[in-house]
Amino acid sequence: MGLKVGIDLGSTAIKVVFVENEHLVWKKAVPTTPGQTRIADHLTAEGLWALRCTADTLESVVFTGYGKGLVNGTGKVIDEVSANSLGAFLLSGGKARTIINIGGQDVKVIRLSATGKLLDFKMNDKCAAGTGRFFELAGRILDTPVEIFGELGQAVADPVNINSTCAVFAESEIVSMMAKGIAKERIIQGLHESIARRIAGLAGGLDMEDDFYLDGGSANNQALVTAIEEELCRDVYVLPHPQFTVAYGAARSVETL
Amino acid sequence: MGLHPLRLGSGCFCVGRLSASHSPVLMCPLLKATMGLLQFQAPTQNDTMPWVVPTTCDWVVKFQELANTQPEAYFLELPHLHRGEKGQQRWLEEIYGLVRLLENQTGRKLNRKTLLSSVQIFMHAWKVFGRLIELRRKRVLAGVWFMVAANSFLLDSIEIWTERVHQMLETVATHPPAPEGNGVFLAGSPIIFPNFKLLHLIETAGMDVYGDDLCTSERIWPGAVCYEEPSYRGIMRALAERYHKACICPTFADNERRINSILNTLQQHHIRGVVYHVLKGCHPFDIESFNLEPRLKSRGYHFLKIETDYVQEDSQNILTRLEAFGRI
Repeated sequence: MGLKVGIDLGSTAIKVVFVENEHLVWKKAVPTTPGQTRIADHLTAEGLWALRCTADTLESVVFTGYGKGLVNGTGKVIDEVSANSLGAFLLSGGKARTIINIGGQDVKVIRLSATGKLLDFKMNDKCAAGTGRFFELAGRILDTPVEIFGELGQAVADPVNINSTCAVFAESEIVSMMAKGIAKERIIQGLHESIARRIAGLAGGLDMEDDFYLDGGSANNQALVTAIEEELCRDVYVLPHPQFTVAYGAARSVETL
Repeated sequence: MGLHPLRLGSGCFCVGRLSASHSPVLMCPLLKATMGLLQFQAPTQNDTMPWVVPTTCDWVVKFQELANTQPEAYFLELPHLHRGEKGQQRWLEEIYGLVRLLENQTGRKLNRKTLLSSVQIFMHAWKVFGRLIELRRKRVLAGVWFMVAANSFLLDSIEIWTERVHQMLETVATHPPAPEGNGVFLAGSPIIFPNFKLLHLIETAGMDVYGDDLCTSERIWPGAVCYEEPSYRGIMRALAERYHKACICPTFADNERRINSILNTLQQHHIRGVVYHVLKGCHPFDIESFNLEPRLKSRGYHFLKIETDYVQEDSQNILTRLEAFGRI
């Protein structure tokens, strides 16, 4: 059996997965920098080396993500909403009905049928509020790595209220709070709740159904997961490698394309 | 009366920037671009002629105040309740007021004969427009090219437009139709040349627009003016009714016909989804989308709302959504 490769050329990270049968056998993510297709080629070569395989074992290569338009004829392409739907549905064992994806520069809420068919979706417009980029921005202002946002936010009982729905204005709001001496843990948890409200607003027009799955790099943030659960009044599940769901869906999409 | 109506309105991002310093940030981009265009290049056909401005939305009402250019606008006060006799009577009075203004400007009198002649000229145009729509429905004419032809309406004399489009159709009609693909219906805020961003993105995403209800496109085509008696007053009443009572712009409060009209087109032409375009700051269409979406979805049609303006930076975000929409 050959290897299926899924490459997600995202706005903040490039993710590559290798799939053998239905198993994710290798994965890696690196920050997005200029020369995305070249980086994707290097990662593919790295994956082949790690798996002790040669290029002729590659059954298929499928690209997705914002950079997929840069690829010229070297592989198939699939839009990221469809790749996300398929990836989350398959990795959840067919349980996912609603997916919340927090990507580098967008937020998506996706509805699936019992057979995994994409039924409907909502996605933010060009505003970056509530996206991975928004977290990065906040991390820089607060001088705190985003990876520990979850840990810092979880212990907070009285988060601040961040009202701005615009990333730029939210930045000003955070700076003002810091100037007032408000603890950064309270600000971080306020951010989580602000993002949860935004997601709930986005999902408002959808006919949502359990089970809910959260993916994208931000899904590793447990305090954010809890805030979304509170806001939606539902359990939200996180898949083992949430950052790679879209790339996995792209890899498996050859079975349906 | 020897006059040609010329449509003001621009979809140009560059000229819109000219008015940015003295207009609200969230102003309708169409009117912002029109303001910029008027600053850049004043109307040339006849500078003494008034702008006739139907008060369709708040931006239009405040346009003269913001644009601050000459000549001053003549406002046609649009009754926003148009199904009842009262609203229709008020609109008819507005039309008579416009006739008086034009008679004063030109020194000529509008009479039954010239009115009938003008109705006939427009009837020829509607006939050609109907054929244009038919060829798009049959996929002989791509959505973007249809929009180019529709957008050129009222940019020159109506007779010239009719003749040129007729010539184009004679050529295009011999072309084979494109294979049946992923057709969508485009509704919402007007799309005006040269801002065809959304149309290009729809086609890039592998779909084509089979029908629309944009007031710069299919909704220009209201059909025949039907008068009960060919008297001056009879024709005037019929004209007023055709462009007011029959109009399905979301600016009207009593507008149930609009949803039915969209549903009829979707059903008749087997179109499975609606891409709903909202120009940032275009409140009537934005508000309407919240009613339209559940009603279309409850009947099994897909719905995608795209809120945007004239910038290109959000193209990738929109394309992602359109690609996914095409796969639903």
